[in-house]
Amino acid sequence: VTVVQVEGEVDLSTAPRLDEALAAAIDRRVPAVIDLSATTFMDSSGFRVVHEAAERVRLALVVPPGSILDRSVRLAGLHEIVPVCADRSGALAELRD
Amino acid sequence: VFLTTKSPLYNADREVIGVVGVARDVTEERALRRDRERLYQIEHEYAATLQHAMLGTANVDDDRFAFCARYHPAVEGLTVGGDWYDVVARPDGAVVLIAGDAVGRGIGAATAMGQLRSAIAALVGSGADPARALESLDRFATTIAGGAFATCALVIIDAASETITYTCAGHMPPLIVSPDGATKYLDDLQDPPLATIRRRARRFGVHSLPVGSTLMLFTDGLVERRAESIDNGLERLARAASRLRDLSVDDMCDAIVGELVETDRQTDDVAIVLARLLAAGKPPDGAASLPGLWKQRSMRQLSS
Repeated sequence: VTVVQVEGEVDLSTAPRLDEALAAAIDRRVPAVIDLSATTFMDSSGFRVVHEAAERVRLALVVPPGSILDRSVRLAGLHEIVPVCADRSGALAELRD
Repeated sequence: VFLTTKSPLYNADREVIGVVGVARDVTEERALRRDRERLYQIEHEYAATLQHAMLGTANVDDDRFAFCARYHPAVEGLTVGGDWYDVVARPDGAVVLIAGDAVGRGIGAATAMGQLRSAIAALVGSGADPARALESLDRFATTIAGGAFATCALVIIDAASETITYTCAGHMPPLIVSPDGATKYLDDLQDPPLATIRRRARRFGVHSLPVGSTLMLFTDGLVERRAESIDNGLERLARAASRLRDLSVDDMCDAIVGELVETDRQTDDVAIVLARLLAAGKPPDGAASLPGLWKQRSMRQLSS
């Protein structure tokens, strides 16, 4: 399992870095946890990267309830595609199944 | 046409003894410059016309409603961006409100936007189920550059029954402002963006829209700010909309944009479209003139 910890802001200019980080997991065909608990901003370009990755590799997101991205992730419909977990162990357990 | 420069000619005692002049034939040069300026002007007009054609409209003539929309592209030099809105009058008298957002910025996002906008406006022409219309748009979105991962919210308003039917593909949820100031986001059925994998069919919901209510669709640029949860932005919008609900839709639109959009720091496109239900009932005669014509034509075809 690859764990990608995302800190700070993900927008049009930084989304490619998230894309690169996930490309490693996609190349190795291993599931990935994207930990968004320390992410302070993510716009549609960031969500797009996650949606794209979800089509190629098993993903789980870490988004603590009430955290800054909690509502955005749900509005983007990501919870309909990828398991959204409160913490990292939950996400890892999700991918172990 | 000659361009001439002249200067005095001095002797050793600094006395003027003559004039030196140079004349250059610039006829061709001037003509070339005029051509360039004319071509630039023509291209500018083409670009403006094409951009204008890509945008939606809120000019639906129906006395039961008041509509208003505002559009603020973030990229300088463009009058369009990835965001769009539209108001579509259906033959059955229902009115459809649409807002969407194609991925990215600038002309690339705008061209995808123009195609998605046209496609969904045509797809919502009939039927009560907006989720099926979005599923058709899903398929279309896979066929155009920049179509995938676009978001879209779609609401069908039936004024006769004062109800709306809504569906949402990863887009900001529609907002209802009641006459008494209560606000409600329709955010219970957030499905993934267009042309993405889904675990199930797209869903739609039904909600009441009593006369006097204002329905608002918008894009994330209106509410999204760095270093804060989207909840804050949505709350800010709901509070402003509730407070400004007694204004005309035009003034309400302007006031909301004025309060929420930080024009000097705008980094994302902003689109907002409002519909206020003024009266329930069937469409007034002539309001839906084009569908009326279709009906006449098909009747004639049937009888002939």
